[in-house]
Order: sequence, then structure tokens, then C-alpha cells
Amino acid sequence: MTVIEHVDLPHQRIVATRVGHRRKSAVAERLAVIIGLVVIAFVHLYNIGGFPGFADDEGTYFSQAWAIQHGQLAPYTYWYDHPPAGWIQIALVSWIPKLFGVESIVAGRMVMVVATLVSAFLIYRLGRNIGLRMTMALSAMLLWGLSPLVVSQARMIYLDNVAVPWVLLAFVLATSKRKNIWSHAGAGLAMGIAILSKETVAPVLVAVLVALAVYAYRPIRSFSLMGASILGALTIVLYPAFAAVRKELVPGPHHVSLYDALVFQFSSRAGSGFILDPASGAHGQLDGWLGMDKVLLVMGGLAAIATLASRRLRFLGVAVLLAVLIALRPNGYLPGMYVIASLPFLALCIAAVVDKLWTMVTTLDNRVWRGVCTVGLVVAVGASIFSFAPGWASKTKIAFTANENASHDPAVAWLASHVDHHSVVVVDNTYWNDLVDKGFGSDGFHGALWFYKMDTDSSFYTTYPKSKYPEPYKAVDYLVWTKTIQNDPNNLPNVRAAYDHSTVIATFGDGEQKLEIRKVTK
Amino acid sequence: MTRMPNFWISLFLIFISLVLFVIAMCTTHWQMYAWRTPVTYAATAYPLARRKKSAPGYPPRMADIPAHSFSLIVPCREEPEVVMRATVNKLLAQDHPDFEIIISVGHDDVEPQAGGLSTKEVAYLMAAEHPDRVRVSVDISPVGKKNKPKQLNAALPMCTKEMVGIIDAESLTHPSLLTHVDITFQREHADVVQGSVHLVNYKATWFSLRNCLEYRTWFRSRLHGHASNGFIPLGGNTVFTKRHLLVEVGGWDGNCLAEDCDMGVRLSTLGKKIVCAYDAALTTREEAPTEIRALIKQRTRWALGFMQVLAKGDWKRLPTRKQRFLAFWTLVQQHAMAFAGLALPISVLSALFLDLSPIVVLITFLPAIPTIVMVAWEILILQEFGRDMHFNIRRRDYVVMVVSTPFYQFLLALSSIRALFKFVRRDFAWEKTSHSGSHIALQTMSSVEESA
Repeated sequence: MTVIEHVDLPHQRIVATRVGHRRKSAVAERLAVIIGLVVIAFVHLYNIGGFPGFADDEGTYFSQAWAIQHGQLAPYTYWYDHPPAGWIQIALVSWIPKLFGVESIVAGRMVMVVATLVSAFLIYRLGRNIGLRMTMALSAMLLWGLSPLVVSQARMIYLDNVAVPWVLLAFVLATSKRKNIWSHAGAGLAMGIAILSKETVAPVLVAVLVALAVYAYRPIRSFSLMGASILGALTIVLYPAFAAVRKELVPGPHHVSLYDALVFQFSSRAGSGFILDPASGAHGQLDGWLGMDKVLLVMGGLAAIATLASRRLRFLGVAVLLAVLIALRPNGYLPGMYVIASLPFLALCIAAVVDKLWTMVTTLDNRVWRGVCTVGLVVAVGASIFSFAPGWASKTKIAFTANENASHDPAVAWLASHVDHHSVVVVDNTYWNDLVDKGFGSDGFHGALWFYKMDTDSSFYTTYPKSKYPEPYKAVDYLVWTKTIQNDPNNLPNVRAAYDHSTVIATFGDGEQKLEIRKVTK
Repeated sequence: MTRMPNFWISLFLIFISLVLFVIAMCTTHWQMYAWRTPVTYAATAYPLARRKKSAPGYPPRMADIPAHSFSLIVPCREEPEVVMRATVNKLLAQDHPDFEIIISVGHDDVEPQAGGLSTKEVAYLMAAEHPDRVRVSVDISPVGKKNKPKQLNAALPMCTKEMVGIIDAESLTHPSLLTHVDITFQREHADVVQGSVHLVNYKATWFSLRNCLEYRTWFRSRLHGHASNGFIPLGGNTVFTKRHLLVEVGGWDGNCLAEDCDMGVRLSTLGKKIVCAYDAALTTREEAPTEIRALIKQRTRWALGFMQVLAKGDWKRLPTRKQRFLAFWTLVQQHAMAFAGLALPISVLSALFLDLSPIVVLITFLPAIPTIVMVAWEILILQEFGRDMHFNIRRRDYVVMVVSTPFYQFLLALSSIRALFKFVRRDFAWEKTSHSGSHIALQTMSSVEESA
């Protein structure tokens, strides 16, 4: 019996056995990836304007991207709510759909599809880097790209969707086959950019370091970790440095500060309650996610725990479980978009576990057991697919056919033709960009006015001073009263006053989509 | 009204910052050659395993048998006796069967040094003590125009062996050095072998640590990167060349302050094979200058010498564009680094004080990023240095290394500017760096011999 000496780096062994496999089917592989990406693009693009319903945040980020294109950080005073890298990236690309006549939120959503395709490809690439078979890496990509939960979240203009490709790039670089320290340092840089796009992905940095610790070349591993850490830290430090240069780092009179914004994010913000408490807002979010797709969350979660046992897969489990731990905070703020950053790793966990099981099962010594277990695994996987596929199909059908934004365009068209473009119109941000495109004032206070700023931005009072407007609501001419404004949990007395002193002049839609265009009586 | 000049200043600063960024990135990239990938790491580290002896019972392999002979020139000028004796004794202890030592002195070097004897006297004393191995060569070029290449040229006709090696007066060599250089010549079919030199007195002053690290990074990593790209700037110590080649090219340039680099350029243009070999155990140990004035003199001499080589234009005859670019870059490197070291803080401060747009200020920060990454990696390089050389590097040393960075950069910048002035004034006099032998005591205490 021959004894084979183990090489120091087990995943190198896997590379050696798979290389021949890969060369044979390189063309077929590329074709399969391209077809997969085309399918994902189609599923994400079809009816992109109809589903899901426009969210206020989408308009906020898109208007900030618009501001970048016009030389400012944000339409209103930038108060360090998020680092600006996210909407800067949107701004770099969002002018392209506009060339084809696509405007506003839908244009921004098309930019999101670009991010989705990049993420999908990187999921596949990461799967290959960690040693998954081609079919399994493709499955991870499709599992993620076609999941109804992902389709609904990834279509929306969220900063998380901009950060996810960078997070995945960091892992792809960290696990790169050539083990160049510049790739590893680049992983730190990519993670830094991801955090500057959406700061909430910061905990994933731990998983990147775990991945580096495993995949770096042992004798120079300390160089890889050092390079990634320092480059990542320096990238992130650019943000407070930027604040410091603008003299807005620490609190002071008459200006916003990064410090104040951080305090707001971490302490002042209302929590969503404990996620396992059925009555809490966080639990409602969880129900919403599970309602869209149980596969990624439940099976993915179990697979994530399983990956902890494998040295080369552990970082996937770490990424997921860190997110879970943070979600379990008793009263943290948990928005619906929180789940976005974990979904790629959940998909990869499932694919990695199936891949590992397949390897274990097909290399059993006993021929009988091997046959039985192989068939068993195939049946199990097949049965799972058959069980969730119909649910996915029906949800995807909804995505293709729903028209949750039916009242949006008619309302915009009506405003453009019936309302003086110099008047002040209070809207939620899903209308802000459309009105600006139609010629309404864009400085934030003369023309389209985001409702939230009416009560929270002191510039409102400098634009409409109390001396001229003892009743602030009189500065406003029109009010586009949507469910977003109606259901906003914040205390907004000016908005309320404008509503109370207004009359309906037009209505569009019904139910959740109902909106009233109201004229303020002076 | 201030917007227009601010615009042009901003544009200028952005341009400077991009140039500095490129310089810093390239420097970091080249310095990290040895640690870049598993391939380069394996190529630069010559682990002891590769020098395993043949299995017992079998005859030694052909490459294990020394086949060449060496003439070792030890150029001395105003050296204390203890320094000369240490160097020559270490050379006499070489385990190679066939070598000779030629101590090269100047005819005017008769001033008594520390210990009472003059350099010339010590040289003759040692020749008398070892008549079969040691001889003395006296350079009689005019006083005031003496320099190292002239001394080397005076010693060259006295060399009788196949290979000529240069060992500086304060270097401590490993007993197996010549054997391994010999084997390298055979295995690689080389014309020139550049061995490695490390400075070892890192604790002496605040700037010697950075100095030692410079040599470490150069010989452990950067030199090999250059070698793989086809141009190797030779050093003047622990470098071995075929004697007939030296005679063919007419010896060293007697007027050049960087005669080693010049020789390297000339041999490269002739297509000769230059190999650099690194091994932690076999590295020659040298002493870093312990006075700031001495360091500045040394660096001024190097910068001036490089400018002379650049002006001579031999490098333009290198075969490939890549080699020519590398040669040019190596020769102007010191000035580029000096410029970078001064320009970076100036650009950052001016952007801040002139109240320019935040984007412009952030862009002036950019070159600092690869610089800081390099310093972070230097901490690990220092750690590896300590491990390889069996030094006990303490936390204090790491702190000194990081904190001394801008100040050391400033010293180098000063030397570079001084060299520029000298070049313009055509002042090419050789400023000698004095040796105190502070590292010799260090070596007798360290356990280097056991590691081979």
C-alpha cells in the first residue's frame, strides 16, 4: 500500500486534481456561465419598473447620484448618513440608461442589474476559487441570481447592492490561485470600498481575514494579512479624513458632523425589537424574507453551520453567522435590506456542502455504499429542487406581471402639465427625481422638496425664514400625499400642517398605491 | 478672484500627486519582489535543503567540488588595525582550497590609525605573517586624486587566479562563502556572481536600523527582481568577476565614484551573465555608518557616482528597452526618492493650507498609501531579518524603524541635493567613510557559525 505524503496546503491538492478537468471543458464552462448570466439578467430586468414597488430610499440614493452628476454630494446638506462611495458609483453609470430615455428610479434599477450581474459572476468565480466543481459553482450563481428574495431586493436601488460586488471581489482576490500579495492587499482595498459604499457590511471583514489566513501562502501569510489590513484601513480612513478636511469631523455650531451621524446610527435610531419576538418589527422583516424564499435562508443557514467544519469553507460560515449574530441583537435597527449582504454566502454554502457531500459519496470505498449514497444524494437534491421550484416559479411570475407602481407615471405626467414648474411641491423621494427631470426646481427647497427635510433640515428655515413664513407650511404649494409619507413613523409637524391645510385636487391608484395630489390653502 | 490660481495650483498638485503615487507604487512593488508570490519566494530563498549533501556512500556530485580559484582584493584606506585584521582573518578562514588575498593600499596611507600602526604597515605585517596567501598592492596615483577604483586597478595586475573578488575592508565573510560562490559559478555558468551583504549594527544609532533594513531589502529581494528583469546594478562588496573579463574591459573606471555600478553596466552591455546569490548564513556582514555625517558622505558619493554613470551613457547600449529603462530608473532612483520624500509632505500641507477642494486634498494623500503599506510590510521584513540573522529584535526597534522613516528620508534627500551641487561643480573627490569596527564585537558574540 502506498502512503501519499500530504502537502502543506490541502486546497492546492484540489487544484491539482481539478486542473485537468477544467482545461477539457473550458469553452463549455464559459458558455454555461454566459448563459446563466443572460438568464439572470432577463429575470432581473423583466418588468423592472413594475415590481417591486418603489421605496423612498431608492429615490434618496438616486437623487444623491443625480447630485454627484451635478457637482454636489447630495441634493440637501450631506450629513454623513452613509459614506458616499455607493451613490458615487451609481452616478458613474446611471447616465447610460438616460441616453435611452429611461429616467429616474427605473434608470437606477437598471444600474442595479449591472451590479447583480457582476455579483453573480463573482459568486461563480469565488466558488471555483474555493474548489467547487463547475456545476456546483454555477448552481451557487443561479441559486442566488434566481431566488425571488434576491430578485426583489437586488432590483431596488440600495447601497447594499452596490457594496456586494466589492465584498465578493474581496473574497475572490483573497482566495486567488496565484497567491500574489497584491491580490491579497487588493482584497483589503475591495473590502474598504465595500464598506465605503455601505458601512453595514463591515463585519464581513472578519470573514475576509479568515479566508486570507487559510488561502495565503504560509511563509508569506503575514505579509498578505498585513497588506490587506493596512490597505483596507487606509481606504476606510479616507472617509473621516474627508470629513476632517471639510471641517465636519467633530460636532460644532452651524454644521453637521461625522461624529453626530455615527451617534445617530448607533444609539438614537429606533430599534426594531428582538427578531425572535413575534410582535417586533424585526420579526416582521424576517417573515417577509422567509415569505419570498425559504431555501436560501433556511437551507443556507444549515449549510453555513456545516461549512464551519471545513477549513477551506469556514469563511463562508463565518460571514453568515456574523450577520446572524448581529441580527440577534435585542433591539438593534434591522431594515429589510439587511439580508442582502448575506445571500451570496448562503447560496455558496449550499453549493459547497452539496459539492463536499458529492465528493464524499463518490469516493467511498465500498461499491455498494457508494452506489446507494450517490443515488440517495441525487434523490435528495432532486426532491429539494422539486419542492421549492414551484414556489420560486410563482413568485417569479409575480415579479414579471405585477404592476405596483401603476400610479407613479400618471401622477408625474399630471404634475408636469397641471402644476407651475416654479411651485414648491412636497414629495417623497420616489417622485423627486421625476419632477426634477420634468423641470421643477432642483435646489431642494424651490421646486421638488423631499418631505422629510421639511422638518429635519435647518436649511428649510433659512430658505423660508420664520419672519416671512410664521406658519412654515405656507411656504409649500403642493403636496403629493403617498402612503410613504402617510405611514412615516417620524414626527413631522410641518408636513402634518401642510396636509391639514390642503385640499385634494387629483387622486391616482387605490389601496397601497393610492396617492392624492393636494393643494395647500394659504 | 482666487478661483483661477487655485484651479491651476489644484491641477499642479494633482499631477504631482499622481507622479508621486506612481513612484511610491513602483518602489513598493519592486521592494516586495521576494515576498510577492510563492514562485518569487522560492526563487529568492535558497533553503539549506538545496545544499544537501549527496547520500552517504555515493561520491559527491560534480557541482559540489570547487573548481575555480579566487584572487580576493581587500581595498583599504585609513583603516584601523583591528578592522583590517578581522576582515583578512575571516578570509584566511575560508574553506575553499585555492585563493589568494591582495590587500590594496595607497602609497600615502602612512598616518597612524587607532592602534598605532598605519594601514600600509598593517598590510605589510599581515603579508609577512601569511606569505603564501597574502600580498600587498600599492596604488601610486597622485595624492588628492586617490579613490577605490584606482586602488582596485592597481591590484588587478597582481591577481593570478581565475576569479577576482572584492571584499571591503570592514566586511566579515562566512567561511563557506567562496565554496558556494564557486559552485554558483559552475551551476549557473555565470560571468559575475554578486553575493549578499547585510549591515548588522542595527542598534548603533536611530538611523542605522533603517540603513540595515535598506541593505536587507535590497539583497534579499529587490536585487533579484532586477535580475529577473535583466539589469543588475552591482555592488562593490562580495562581488566576484572572471579575471580575464576585467582585463578585457580595461578594469574599473578610475574617475567614477560608483565604479561597481559602472562595471555592472558595462558588463551587461556586453551580454555577460550576472548572477546574484542570496543566503542568510553566507551573507557578508558589514558595518553601517554610525555618524550622520558619514552616512551623508556615503550617500552623496553613491548619488554622485550614479549620476556619473548616467552621464557616461554606457547604459544606453543595453540590449533591451526594459533593461535600459531599469538601468535609467536605478540610476536616478535616489533623486526620485529624495524628490518624493520632500514633495509629499509639501503637497499635502499646501493643499490643506490653501483650502483647496476636499477632493484635491484627498488626492494629495494618495501617495502616502503605498508608502504606509510599505512601512507596514517593513515591520515584517525586519522580523524576518532578525529571524534569519539570529538577532533579537525588540518592540523598541520596530517603533524606531517606523518613526525614523521620514527623518531618514530627509537625510537621503539631503545627500541627493548635496550630490547635485557637487555634480554641477564637477567635484568628484572621494569622501571616505571611516570604519570603527563596531560590528566586529557583535559578531564574536553571535552564534552565526553554527547556523551554516
